[in-house]
Amino acid sequence: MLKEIIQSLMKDPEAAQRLKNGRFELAGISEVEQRALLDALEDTNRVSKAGELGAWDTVKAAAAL
Amino acid sequence: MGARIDIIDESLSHSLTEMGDRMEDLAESVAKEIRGGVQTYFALPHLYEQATACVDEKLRGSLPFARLTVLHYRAFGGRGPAIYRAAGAIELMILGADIVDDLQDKDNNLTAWSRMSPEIALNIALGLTLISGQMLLASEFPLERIHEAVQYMNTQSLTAINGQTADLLNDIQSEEDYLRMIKQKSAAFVVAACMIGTLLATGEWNSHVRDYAEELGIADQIKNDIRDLLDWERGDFRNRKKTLSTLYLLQYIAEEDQWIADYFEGRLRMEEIGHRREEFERAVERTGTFLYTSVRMRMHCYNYLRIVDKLNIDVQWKNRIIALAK
Repeated sequence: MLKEIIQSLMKDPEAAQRLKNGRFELAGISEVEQRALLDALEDTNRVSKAGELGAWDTVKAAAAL
Repeated sequence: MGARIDIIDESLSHSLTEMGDRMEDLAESVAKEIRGGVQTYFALPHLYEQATACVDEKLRGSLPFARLTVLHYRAFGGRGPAIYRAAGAIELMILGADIVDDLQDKDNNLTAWSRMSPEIALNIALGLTLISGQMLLASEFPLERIHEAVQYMNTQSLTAINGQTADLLNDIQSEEDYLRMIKQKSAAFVVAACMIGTLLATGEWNSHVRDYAEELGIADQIKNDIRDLLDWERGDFRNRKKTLSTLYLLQYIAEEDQWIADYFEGRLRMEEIGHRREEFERAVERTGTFLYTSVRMRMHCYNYLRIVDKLNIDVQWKNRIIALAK
């Protein structure tokens, strides 16, 4: 179901905005999937830059060892 | 076995500093143990020199696995310097696996071991694996804990060998196959680093540590796979490796992008598609491959956080471990 939702989002770019505003129903996926999807959508680097996938890059960026 | 990891975190540095493990001292202490092990067991001058080149390269990195071992040892109440030898043993085990991985994948020309003959590199990898066991056996912990730690390190190495072989065969048909493979190939080493630190401190198995370490390892491997997807110079793409990203991509590519499926199924050669990189990048974006992979990676991060939260340790240490994924 997660895959189908992502396909919908890719075909309709405005759907992502509706999702962020709570006007796009996320039925059929778990709470963890919902949270991960919303967080991934908030990460503007996600689609265009493979090297920046969120949490792990934050860790990397903070590296000071 | 694909065991490179990007877990390097300032908070880890701070937490260890508070327990008397200054980062420079930790790296120096672990390096001393590693060099001592190599010097003791590689008697032939050429072998010693070449192995030292490999070790030097390892020591120029941040030793994330050693740090994970020390962090868990301290977090679970371990005191004193004995942990450095165990942490060095973990790093040597992983260095041996990395050398074998590069020999097999032939996708990394930048390392010291890729510049020497593969026969010598193989002997060094075998030797480092054995030295890592010797170092752990010679560490200053109660014998029962050493016995269990060595047994666990061997078990995890064998798990990684199974996963690496599955990866070499590239017989990945589903996401379940892929996740099983990376649990073995990659996460097994993260689990070993965290569990051995915990075990040496407490003498007990901690299933929470095992479970969250596995989530950490899976998340990191998913990230590496998506990064490698667009890096056509690296072996993963050249070797048509099936990953979470490529499985998803192949499921949703459009009719005009069928050449991508043809390439991954071996019907097209690299030379025939080399000029289509931008088309490939557009297909990756159009299908939402990054978004899907990012979501899946995050799910494993959240599972990690959820399990860490169950730990019954000082909140300061818990926060340090949580910070690894924030």
